Amino acid sequence: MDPISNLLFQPFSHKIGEDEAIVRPNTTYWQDVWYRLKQNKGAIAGLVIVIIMIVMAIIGPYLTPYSYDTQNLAAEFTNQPPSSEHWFGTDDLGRDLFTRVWHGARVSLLIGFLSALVQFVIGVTYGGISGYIGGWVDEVMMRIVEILSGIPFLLYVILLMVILEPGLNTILIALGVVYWLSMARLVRGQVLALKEQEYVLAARALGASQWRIIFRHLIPNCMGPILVYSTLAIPEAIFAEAWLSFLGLGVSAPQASLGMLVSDGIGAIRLYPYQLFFPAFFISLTILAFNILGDGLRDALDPRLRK
Amino acid sequence: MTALLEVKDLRVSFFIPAGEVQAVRGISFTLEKGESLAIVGESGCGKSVTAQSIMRLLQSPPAKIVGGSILFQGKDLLKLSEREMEKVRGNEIGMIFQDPMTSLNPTMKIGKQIAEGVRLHLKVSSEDAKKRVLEMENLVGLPHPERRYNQYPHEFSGGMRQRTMIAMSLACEPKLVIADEPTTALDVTIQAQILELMKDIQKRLDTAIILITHDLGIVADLCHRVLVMYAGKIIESGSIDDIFYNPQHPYTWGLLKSVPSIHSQEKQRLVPIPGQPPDLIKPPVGCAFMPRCKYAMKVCVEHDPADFQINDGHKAACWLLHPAAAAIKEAAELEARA
Amino acid sequence: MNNNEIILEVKNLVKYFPVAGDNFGKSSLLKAVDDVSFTIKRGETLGLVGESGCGKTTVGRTIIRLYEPTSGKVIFKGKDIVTANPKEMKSIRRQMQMIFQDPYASLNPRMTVSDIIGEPLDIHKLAKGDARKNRIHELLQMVGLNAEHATRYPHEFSGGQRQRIGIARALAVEPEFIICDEPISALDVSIQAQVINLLEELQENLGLTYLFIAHDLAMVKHISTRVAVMYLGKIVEIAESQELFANPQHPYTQALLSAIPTPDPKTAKAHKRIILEGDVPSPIDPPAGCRFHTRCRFAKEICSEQEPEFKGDSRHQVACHLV
Repeated sequence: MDPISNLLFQPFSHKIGEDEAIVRPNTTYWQDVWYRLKQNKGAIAGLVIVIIMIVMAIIGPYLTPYSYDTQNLAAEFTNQPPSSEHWFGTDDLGRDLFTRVWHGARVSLLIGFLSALVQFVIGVTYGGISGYIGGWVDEVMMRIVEILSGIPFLLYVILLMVILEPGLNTILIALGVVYWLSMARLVRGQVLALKEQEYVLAARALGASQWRIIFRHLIPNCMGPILVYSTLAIPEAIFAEAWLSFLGLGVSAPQASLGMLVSDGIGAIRLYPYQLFFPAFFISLTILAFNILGDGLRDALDPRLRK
Repeated sequence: MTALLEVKDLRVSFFIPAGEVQAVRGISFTLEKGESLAIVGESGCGKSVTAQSIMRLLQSPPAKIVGGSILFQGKDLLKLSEREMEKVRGNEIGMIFQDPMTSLNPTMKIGKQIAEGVRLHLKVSSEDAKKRVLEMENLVGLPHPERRYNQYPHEFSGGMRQRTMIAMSLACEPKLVIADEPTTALDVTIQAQILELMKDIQKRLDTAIILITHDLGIVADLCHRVLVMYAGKIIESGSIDDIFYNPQHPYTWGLLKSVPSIHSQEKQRLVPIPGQPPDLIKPPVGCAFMPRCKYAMKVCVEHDPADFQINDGHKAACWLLHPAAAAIKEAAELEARA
Repeated sequence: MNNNEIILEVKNLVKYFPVAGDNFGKSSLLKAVDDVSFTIKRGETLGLVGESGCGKTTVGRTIIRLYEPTSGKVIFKGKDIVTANPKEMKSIRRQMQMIFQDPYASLNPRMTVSDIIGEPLDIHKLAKGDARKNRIHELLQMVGLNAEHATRYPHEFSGGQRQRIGIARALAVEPEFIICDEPISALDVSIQAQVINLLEELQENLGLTYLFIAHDLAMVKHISTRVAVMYLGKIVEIAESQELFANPQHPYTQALLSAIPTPDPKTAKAHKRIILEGDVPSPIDPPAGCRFHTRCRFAKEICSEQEPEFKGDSRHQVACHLV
């Protein structure tokens, strides 16, 4: 060690304790979450697949000269295996399956996102109000939720089909009407847990109105679990629509969802397995990707992993 | 005679998204058999990280022990495998944690929890284990030990839970107990009870204790020697008489001055230490305390202070103790300790 | 400004919480605050001390009506605020504010500092646009932070800094009276001194009155003009600060003072601590008569039968049969 010069042992004038500056770069909560998500290879793979599916759903049908309902009943066009003209083959009405699969993906994804959106809006508002106000309002609101959850899903859908016409809109309504229940419960639980937090008490002490507290303080702090739930609601809705299609309660022909295509494809499984393979592959992939992404989000949002 | 515990140049860092936080930046100390050592300092100084490193309880990632050695009875704990370390924990080194609410398993009866360590390490029959547990409950002053054996943690108060933790840590008669802020979460009158208990046990069992705390009052009552930590380093160490009656580091002066005493007659002036500890993601080049130090010299800006021996067992890392700073030091000490 | 003006009078304040029933479904009452009365003069600081379960935090939160009192009066500047309607309460909230204990939980993690300090300005429509921005910077500087901190989030600050943000938030409405609910308990020792000094400075500059709730007796002694000691929902002793610490009369106060560890080895060795037996009883089922009698080393028969009355003068009052 080099000897230190004696000259350095002189007072150093400086502003004592001036160092209130913050050294680290500005990181918000969501940047943290994104960082953790990036480390989860599965979740990123899921995200990539979801993005690819969305892109293909948008542009897919335009990649071929056919439209999803163009029929061609001549024998040499029906039930053709995959070829250079029909990349996924054709079905029994001579419709191009590639176009139909991506059109179906559009329908399925639309159903997924829209019902997640309905679920989000209704569920968050309902659960937020119920949880925050508490007391008998909460009791009544939760009893309603419990009664509604007791009714079997299928019964709803059939009732709605009777009242309204079968089709895309009816399905959306049916799914939206049912799924908001669990979101409401989730949000209510979160709000109950958060409403005794000191920052909420501080807001009350400042004179904040109930609405300000619910929508500015409580809901934003529940966004994590809500986001996970919504992400997982999408594959749930796609799947539900799929088995509604199986029962013949799906969208009406010639519209098709992936689920509908699978349902059609099962009938032809022995002779024309490709008619089942493509839609089944893509619906499974989509549902899997959303689920992995949702799980990854849940892990990334886990507050215990924060420093 | 080798010391019971010898820590040499321990370095621990946390690797987080924003970078590497150097929580412990090279500390060394020894502990003799039966001695009680306090490690004091404020949040972020690295004292808890040090304690957890000895027990190798740090979550890795994001923590990593990046250097140094921890010799316990001659063995380097950092070189042991996880299985070998498990034989040490609870058996040769016991630990008492801060929060008695969350350190006990709520679904397991108290007796079973205390017995767990005994059965694991001492390989005795369940009857003998139970006898041992009752002995321990008596030792820590849990009333009605037989009844308590079958109760659950939620039926216990905070003080009783902490006594249970102490019983658990001592069940296998370890040579060393590490107590990490054992009374911080307790009420003052309960804290007094627990401190008396710890003093009593120490006399009876001659266990070495490392007490991690920020409360200087507890230190004065319970310990023989003190290490004062700041920003990941030990800035002063000595006996309690040394530290309380002849402190040499400006940070120690500041600490002693910012704590009001209930015994003072007129209204005191509380002299806080201005500013706050540095963020260890960018540790400073020179002395870490310099920005907050009224007596800083030019040398403090660029050179990390070396340890200066004051007398046997008392040293401090401060440039004021260098012979060239003698004049400045005299004036500083006069003012700071007034 | 009248120096003897009483700004707050608490009369027979009671707050019970219903508790879920035991195994047999019987529901009981947690008697957190059980007939508490005191006054605070403008400009002074009343310290309120006690251990967990004594009800001191509940007193603070009930006074500001975060909890609704079960019964009793809270007379603030001559008006009983227990009976105030929501409109009146909003105006009272401009005069009476609160600082909270946990610097990590008292700031909304999703809001920037500017949002947090600006919220009271928005709620009470005190400033808009540039005026609002300037006021926020002014408040930050008042508590020792700077303007560039306004765009940051709470998690980027240390405990002491967060506590200062909480203080700035409370000051935004220009209150006259602030309830400090354990504002320094969660902070490091040298930072505690910073915050205490800040509170004292603000009190002097802005003419504030404080109710200072804490369990750290040494800090309470330092900052308070008068101190009240609580045990299990009741005040057991209340006196001027120096007087209480020099001459504690209630056995609980004596034990409490004796239990505090002193940072002085010689004193520590010489000191014979009064050790209280057992644990603090539950406020769900407080002992009959004097609540402290189960742990009191001087307890007589009368102590388990009758609740003691307050005796003494305006400087020092005790509720104990033996005094």
